[in-house]
Amino acid sequence: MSAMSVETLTARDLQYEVEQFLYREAELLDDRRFADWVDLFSDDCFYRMPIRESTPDNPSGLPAEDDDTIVRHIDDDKVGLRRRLVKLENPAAHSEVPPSRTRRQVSNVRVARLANGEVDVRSNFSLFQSRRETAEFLFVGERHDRLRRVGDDWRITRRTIIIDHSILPRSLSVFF
Amino acid sequence: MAIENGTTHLLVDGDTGLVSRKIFVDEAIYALEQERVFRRSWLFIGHDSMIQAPGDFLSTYMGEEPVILWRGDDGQPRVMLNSCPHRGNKLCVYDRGRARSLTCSYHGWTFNDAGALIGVPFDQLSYEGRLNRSENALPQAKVATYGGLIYAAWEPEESLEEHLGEFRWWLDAFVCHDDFGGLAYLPSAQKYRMPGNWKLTSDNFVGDFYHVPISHASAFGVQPGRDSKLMSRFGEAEEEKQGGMNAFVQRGMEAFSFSLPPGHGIGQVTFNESRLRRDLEIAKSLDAEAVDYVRERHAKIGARVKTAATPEGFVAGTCFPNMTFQGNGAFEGELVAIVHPRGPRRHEIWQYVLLERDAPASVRRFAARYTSQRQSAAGLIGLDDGENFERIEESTRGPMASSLTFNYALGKERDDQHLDNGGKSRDSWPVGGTAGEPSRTYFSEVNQREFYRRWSDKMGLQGATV
Repeated sequence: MSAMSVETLTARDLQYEVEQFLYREAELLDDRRFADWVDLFSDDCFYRMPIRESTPDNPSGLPAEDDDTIVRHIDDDKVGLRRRLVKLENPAAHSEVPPSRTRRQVSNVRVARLANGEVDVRSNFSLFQSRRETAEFLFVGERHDRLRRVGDDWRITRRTIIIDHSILPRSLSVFF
Repeated sequence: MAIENGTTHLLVDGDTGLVSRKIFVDEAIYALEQERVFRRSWLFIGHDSMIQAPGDFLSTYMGEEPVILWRGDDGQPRVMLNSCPHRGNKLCVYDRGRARSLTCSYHGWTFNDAGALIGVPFDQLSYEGRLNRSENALPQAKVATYGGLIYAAWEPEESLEEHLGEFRWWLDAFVCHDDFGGLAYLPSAQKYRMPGNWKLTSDNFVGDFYHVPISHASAFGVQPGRDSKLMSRFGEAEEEKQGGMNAFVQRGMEAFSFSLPPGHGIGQVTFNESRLRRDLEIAKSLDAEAVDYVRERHAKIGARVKTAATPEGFVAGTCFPNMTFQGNGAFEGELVAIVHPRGPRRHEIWQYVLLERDAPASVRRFAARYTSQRQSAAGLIGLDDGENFERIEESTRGPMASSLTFNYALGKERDDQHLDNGGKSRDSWPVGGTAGEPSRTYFSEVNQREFYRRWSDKMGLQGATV
């Protein structure tokens, strides 16, 4: 397929491409191909999971996306993602020894074109994690992604993980 | 009570450093702990900067008791039970916010920011105006502050100063100071569930540095048992040029821990400017202002502590029973956490980043991200602790496994005889002028032994056997 710019894709084709990209991405993670997964992110990316709080004046409980002096559960750039990769590849990374069994469901994909040719994508996810025998956890939330067209493929330039937990059910050794 | 039947070993044995596993799994001991430790100890609730203006509140817990930390109209911080006196309904259902009053969702009783009952629906019709309002105020814990740290206790057995004891010197030096505007909180709290008994986290922070080069090897990019790769700050694996795991541990051997009576402890205190060098390296990647800040901050610490060799802060620590510390570098601020018990086999960690208020913008931005990458739910360091505790919880359930002990005897002989490794004198240690009883960071469990001695005293279980 020849490279098509975002502008010339029909809405239906754009939707299809983005969905296929997200499914492929989930497959890379469930198959533990973490290096390939990190390659999906642009070098200028961020990968964040803000903390959600219940406050009287902010029903969503979400902080401003551009606030850079607040603490988040996850606040990584490409370097941070690579650092996680190096840790995971270390045989002493106990938190993933033996590897977790994970299964990701991605749905409710909503795509919006931006003026600069990138697209904003919202999708819902549920992530089941099973470790050893009976340690089982379910993480649920939404992702706000910004995707950039690179040739025939896409790169994730921003990912904000809107986790639907106030108190995280466990330490996070999985990617979202 | 079941725990007093039979006599096989002491619950907490100060002579051998052995601690019964029962204290980590037993329901009856847990229930007694809620009474004797969490009801009678000063517990850290929050920092002044978390509730700056009158009306600011946050919801938290004292053990299993939900409480509201609320700054009154008079500027006083108060800690109230988050439970309506009428039928026990939870009053405050927000994590934090600002309010002058809270109204119960069940029957509408309303309380002000001093905990007074100020409104009762249909007061004349329902109670004919005779409800005794002062008897129906929100129950309040005693509150005391130390340099911006707010503590509360239901039935304290000593003053807060007595409770903090030898920790005060280190708090004065690194947490309760006024330099650069003093410490202030960066929102918001990171909260996550942890498997296992709450004391696993408290004892991990109070003095378990032995686990650092093993449990967290992957976070530092060190691979045990081989000449390995070192994690660079920039996320690539680099060939370790400094000798792998042994060199890592050797560098750690230059750090000291301090047992701080009664029952507190800190560790990984360096006196060799190694943290200064690391902080300067990070600062240089940011901007000139950050470099100046790191140098000035180090100089101010030296001026504050007035010791021959300047301690560079404590990387980890625990204030008995359930307040932990992490960080203490120019870019980490102070990561303060509360370990909330949730039954004998579960706990939660609620953690807060405090940073010098007037730190440069580049430092503030870096610090906000740094914690999430290290000691947090998704941090490269924190998540391996959770994994270990999950495994401990899974393998101490049965009657056989739970009848055994945990071994905290590491370094006991050296510590009792005040000797360094290899039988050398401790006189050359650079710790003069500081507070507490020092030991070599990686290879002593004296801080845990003292933590459990304190726990045993609080529980009134000295000499109790199982």
